[in-house]
Amino acid sequence: MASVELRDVSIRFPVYGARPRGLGGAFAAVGGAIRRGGDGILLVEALRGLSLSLTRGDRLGLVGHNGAGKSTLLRVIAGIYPPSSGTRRVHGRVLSLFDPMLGMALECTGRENVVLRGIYMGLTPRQARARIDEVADFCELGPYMDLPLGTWSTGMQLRLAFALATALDPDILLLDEQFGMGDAAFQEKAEGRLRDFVARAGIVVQASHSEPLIRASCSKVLLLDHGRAAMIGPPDAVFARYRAAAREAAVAR
Amino acid sequence: MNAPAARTMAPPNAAPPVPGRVSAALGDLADGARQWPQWFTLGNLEIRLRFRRTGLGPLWTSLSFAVLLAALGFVYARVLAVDPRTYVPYLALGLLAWNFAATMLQEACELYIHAAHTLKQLCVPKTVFLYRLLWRNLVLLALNAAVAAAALALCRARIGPSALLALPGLALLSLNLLWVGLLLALAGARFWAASRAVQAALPIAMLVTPVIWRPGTPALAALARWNPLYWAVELVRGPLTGAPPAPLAWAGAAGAALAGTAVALILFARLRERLLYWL
Repeated sequence: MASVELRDVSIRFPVYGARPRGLGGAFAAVGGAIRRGGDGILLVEALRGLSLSLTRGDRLGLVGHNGAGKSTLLRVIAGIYPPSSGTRRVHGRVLSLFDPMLGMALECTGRENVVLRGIYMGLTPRQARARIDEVADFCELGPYMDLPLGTWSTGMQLRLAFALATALDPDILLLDEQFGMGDAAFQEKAEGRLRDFVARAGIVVQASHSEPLIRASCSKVLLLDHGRAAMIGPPDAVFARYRAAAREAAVAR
Repeated sequence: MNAPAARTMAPPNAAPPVPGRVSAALGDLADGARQWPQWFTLGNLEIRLRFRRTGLGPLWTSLSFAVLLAALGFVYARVLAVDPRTYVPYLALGLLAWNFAATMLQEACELYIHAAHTLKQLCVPKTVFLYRLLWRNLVLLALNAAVAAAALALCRARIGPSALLALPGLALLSLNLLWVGLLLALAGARFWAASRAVQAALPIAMLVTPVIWRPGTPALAALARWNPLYWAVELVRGPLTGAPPAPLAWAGAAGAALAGTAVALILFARLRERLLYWL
């Protein structure tokens, strides 16, 4: 049973090697709060007192300004950043898709990369090899599968990355920003596959600046503002609030 | 009413209780080992990529080791006025063990700095990278060992059954390198100067450790006796040069592995959660 339970989670990054001039408590239009810790070390507070509860079937969109904490929140759910304070309880197999090219070697062939990426994602070499043909078929890359990735175009590499990432069956799927999906012909095909993939996952959390994308795939939206949960609710209400906040910020400037 | 009560139970900066953190660290160690396809495949790939389009491929390692051995053997057998037949095997095995240990220690310092990108994308056991480092260096050791074996054959070195002790010796050395490597990797992630410090110290350490020379005089023997790196090299070199370490040396190496692993584990348990914040 897939579930995500965050309670009062804060993430504070210590900043080493920077000597700012009296920034403590300064406010910026972007990013989390910058403050000074007890030991005098500068801290960037990427998330502050955030609570979140998701169960099977939830499709959550994350929106907010640059540095609002969207990617950090995804990484907390993935278990990458243990909370500085608060608790995190996550059940189910998590798949995080942040960098589509993770674990791919430009020097290796398409086939070898299928295995490499699969191993990164926790498959055994045998399980990974079993997926080569399906992925190759879907990408329509034909003979290029036997050439090093470095000889491919960026779009072709993204095709492979996309096909690989969506060949797995996670309980909890975490997506950062939009996946690049290649040219128009492939995009149509990819959208269908992405829909199926998302439908199979128990929980999906997706961060994006694209309102149409979030509206199309999410039932709930969380608006983040300087690391805090400003609002969580149905897309219509949250986007209304988000746009109003953006207008206010523009007027204030 | 509720919120303050909850706060008393879990103060904002409370770390998880210590037993929880130690078992999480042990879990990391075990999960990392269980994910052997990852460190095995990626370790091999790293070697392949390092030597791609070089003709000889990884054999370049063997070739450069052979040239080093021939040059040092030729010069130092004369400098030290010793018989090359006994000196070259000693030198070959000493360099073999030294290169293995020194490369491992040097590369451990930047282990997590290089792994930062992956660690920020996926939730993987932190020890996978450590195992991968050890595996890669064991493969390179094997490539150099073939050269050392050829040198021993050329010098008609006599090898008895006690030479087999070099294998447990290598295992014990590897265990010790794992815990020292983990400590260096953690230190290197927090203090980026650690790598520079180790880089500066290793060549000096090689010159004061009996790798090229033998601890012939009482003063040199005393220097060697208190040098852990000497014992590290002897674990592999001793059995193959007809002088396996004394039982006390084995016990010392095993004791160091146990105590060191315990210390590294406690520090790993404390720092594992902070690691990602440093990168």
